[in-house]
Amino acid sequence: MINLKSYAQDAIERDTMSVSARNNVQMLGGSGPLMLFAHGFGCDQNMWLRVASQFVDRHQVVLFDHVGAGRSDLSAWSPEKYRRLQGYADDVVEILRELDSGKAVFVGHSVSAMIGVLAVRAAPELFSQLILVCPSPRYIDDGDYVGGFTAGQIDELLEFLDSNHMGWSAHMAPVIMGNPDQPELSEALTNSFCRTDPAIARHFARTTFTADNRADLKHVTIPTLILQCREDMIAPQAVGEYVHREMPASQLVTLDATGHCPNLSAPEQTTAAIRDFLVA
Amino acid sequence: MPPVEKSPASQNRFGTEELKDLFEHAPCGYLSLEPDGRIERVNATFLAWTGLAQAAVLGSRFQDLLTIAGRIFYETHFAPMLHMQGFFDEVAFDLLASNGNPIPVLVNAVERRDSEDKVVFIRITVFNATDRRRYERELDRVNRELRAFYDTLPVGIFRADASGRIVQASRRFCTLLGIDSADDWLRAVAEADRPATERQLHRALRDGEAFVSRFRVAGGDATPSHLEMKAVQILQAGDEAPAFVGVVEDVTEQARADAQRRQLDRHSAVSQLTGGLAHNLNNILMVIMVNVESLEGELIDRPELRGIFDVSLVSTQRAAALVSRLLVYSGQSNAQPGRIEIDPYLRGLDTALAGRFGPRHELTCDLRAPGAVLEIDTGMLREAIEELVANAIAAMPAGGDVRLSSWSGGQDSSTDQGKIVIAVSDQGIGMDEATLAKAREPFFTMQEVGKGIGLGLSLVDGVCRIAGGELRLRSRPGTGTTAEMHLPVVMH
Repeated sequence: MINLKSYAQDAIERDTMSVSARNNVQMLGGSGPLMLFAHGFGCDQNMWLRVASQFVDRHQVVLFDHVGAGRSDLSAWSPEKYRRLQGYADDVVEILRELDSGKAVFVGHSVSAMIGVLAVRAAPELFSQLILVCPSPRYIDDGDYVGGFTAGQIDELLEFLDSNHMGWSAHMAPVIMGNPDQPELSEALTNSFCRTDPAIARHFARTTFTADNRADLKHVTIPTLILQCREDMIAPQAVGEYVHREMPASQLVTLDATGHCPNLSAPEQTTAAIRDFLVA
Repeated sequence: MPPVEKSPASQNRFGTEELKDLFEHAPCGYLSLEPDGRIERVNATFLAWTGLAQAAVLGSRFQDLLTIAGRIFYETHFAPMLHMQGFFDEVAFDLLASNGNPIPVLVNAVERRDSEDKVVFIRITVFNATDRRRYERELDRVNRELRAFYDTLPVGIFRADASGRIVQASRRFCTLLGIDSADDWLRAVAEADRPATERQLHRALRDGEAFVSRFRVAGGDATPSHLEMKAVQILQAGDEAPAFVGVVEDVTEQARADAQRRQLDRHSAVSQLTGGLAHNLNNILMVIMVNVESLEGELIDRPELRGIFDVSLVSTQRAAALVSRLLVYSGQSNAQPGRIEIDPYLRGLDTALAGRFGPRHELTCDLRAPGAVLEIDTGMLREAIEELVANAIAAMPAGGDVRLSSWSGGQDSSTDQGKIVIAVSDQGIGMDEATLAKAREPFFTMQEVGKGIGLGLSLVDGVCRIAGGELRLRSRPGTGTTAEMHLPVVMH
C-alpha cells in the first residue's frame, strides 16, 4: 500500500534536500582550484583517501559517494534514474553547481571515468581537466574493439548477480514478510565500506557493464589524462589505448601496477602521475 | 655442551614433518601470495579440491582461479577491501575447478606486514562451502516460497516480540487494518473496541496465553470491517524472551451473518408469541362478540342500557380488528385471495387515498407493471397500502411527496423475476439501522405514544408473507424511507 501523503512529503524533501547531503560530499580541505574525486563500482569515496589527501597543497579537494554507495542518501536512489550512467553524471554536474567554485579537475576511477566524460559533455564550462583512472568506454568486445569481456561473460556476471548472493554469504534474504526490520546481521564492523544494498549493487553492475560510451569520447576537448595499469583484467591496456586514440586532447600513462585499483595498490605512482599532469 | 636429552620424538616431528603435514593436509586450502598478489605457495588440500596442478596455480593470482563474476567482484570489491583494512573475512566465491565446475568456498584473507608496515605476504584461507551453499540455497528457496505463500493467504500474518510490539507483518496484515506500518496497529482498532483489545493483549503477554480478540477497524464512513486476531506464544531457545506469531482475519461476513441470525431468531420468537396470543384471543373474542350481538334484541325495552351496549360492541369490534392484524402478522389469517391486475387497481386506489392528503402532501403515481396480475386478498392489500401511505405522510410533518410506484421483476437488478413490486416512498425523517431492524415488529412505533400503536408495518409484513412475498425496507436518516412489497405475479 502506498502512503500517498508521506510519499509526497518524501518527494518534497528529496527536491529540497541539498545535493551535498544526497551525495555525502566531503571537503578534504585545501585551497586552489576544485578537485573532485569520484569512486567506481564496488566501494565508496574512501578508496580515494590516500591519493586525494596529497593534493590539498594546491587544490580544494572534494570527495563524494555516488547515490546507492557509501553514506549517500539511499532514499534518493531510483532504478529509472540510475539505469544509465547519465543519471550519475547529472549528479556530478549538480554537485559542482552547488559547490559553485569555478572550473574543477575531475578525477574518476573505473566507471566514474565515463561518468566524468558524460558530465563534461553535459556541462563543459564546469571542468578544466579530466583524469580517467582505469577507464573503459565499453567492457564487452565488439568486432575489432577489445573490451576485455565477451558478451557471454558479462551475461554470466549479470545472471549470477540476479540469481545469487555474491560475496557475503550473509546475503540470505532475512526478510520473510516484507517488513525489513531485521537487525543488520552484517553490521559486522568489517567489510562495511564496500558494502552496498544487493539490489542496488546488482543494478549498478548492470548499468556499468552494459554501458557503451565510445561515441562520447571524441566530444571531450579539455586536457585529459588517462591512467592505466600494466595488468588490469577489468580494463586491459588495449582499452586504455583506445580511449587515448579517441580523445584528441589526452595523454596516456601506464602505471607499473597490477589490478584495477592503482589508487590503492600504487598510491604513490598514481599521485605522481596526476601531479605531473596537473603542473605540466 | 651435553648431548640433547632424548627429546620426545613427537616434538621433533611436530617441528618439521607434522607441521608440514598440517599445512599440506589441513581441512582448508592455504595460499600465500606475494605483495603484488602472485601465488607463491599452495597446499595439497587446495590442489586436491580444484584438481589444478601446482604449476598452474603458482605465479597466477587468486582472482584468476575464480569464476568470471568472482573475478570482477574480487577486483572491484575485495582487493580494495584488503588494501584498505588489511583483511577480509568469510567472503563467498566460486572457485573454478580444473574440470570447469564451480566449487563454492568461503575465503579469508589477511596481509602480513613487517615492522615498517610493508606487506610481506598475503595469506588466503579457503573453506569448502559446498554443503553450506546448498543449505543457504535451500533456506533461500523456502523463504521465497513462504513469502509468496504468505502473500496469497486471505489472512494477515505477524510476529510480535515479548512486549507485544509487532516486528514483522505481511502486506495483507496492513491492508486489513488499513495501515501503512504495523507499528501502531492498535490505533487502527475502533475506539470502542480498543480498551478491550488492549486488555486482552496485555493479559496474553503477561500470562503467556493465546491471544484472541475480535474488533472493528476504525475507518471512514464506510461500514467498519470486523477483524479477528489470534496469536500464540513461541518459546525461544535459551534465555531469549518469548515471541508471538499470529494471524488476523476478516470476519465481517461472519459478524453480519451472526447479527442476521439473531434478528431471525428474534423475529421467529416474536412471531410465535404474537400468533399464539392472537389465535387464543380471537377464539375468546368470537364468544364475546356472539354473546354481545345476541344481547341486542333483549335490550329493546331497556333504552337506558343502550349506551353500555354500544360501547361494548364497538370495543369488541376494535379488539377483533387488532387481533386480526396480529394474525396477519403471524401468518395465520384466513386470507381470501382474488386475482387483480395491479396497475389499474392501484390507479383506482389513488382516488380513494386522495382523501387522506391535506394541503401539504401530494401523492404521485409511477405505475410500470402493465398487465401484471396478482393473487391476493384485496382487502389486506388495500389496508397494507393505506398503512404505508399513512406512515409516509407521518414521516413528513412539514409536507412533501408520497410516491406510489410499481414495476416488474427483471426491470432492475434488485427485483427477482416473477415478482412485481409495489413501493411507497417518502423524503421524510427516515430511520437509522437500529430502528430499521425493529421497524416491522408488532407494537414498535416511531410516533409519539398514543398516536399509533405500532402495528402498521407488521401488518404490511404479514400481508406480504401471506401472499408469498416479502417486505423490503430501505431508509436513511434525513433522506426518507422506501417500503417495497415484493409479491409473486401470476400472469403477465
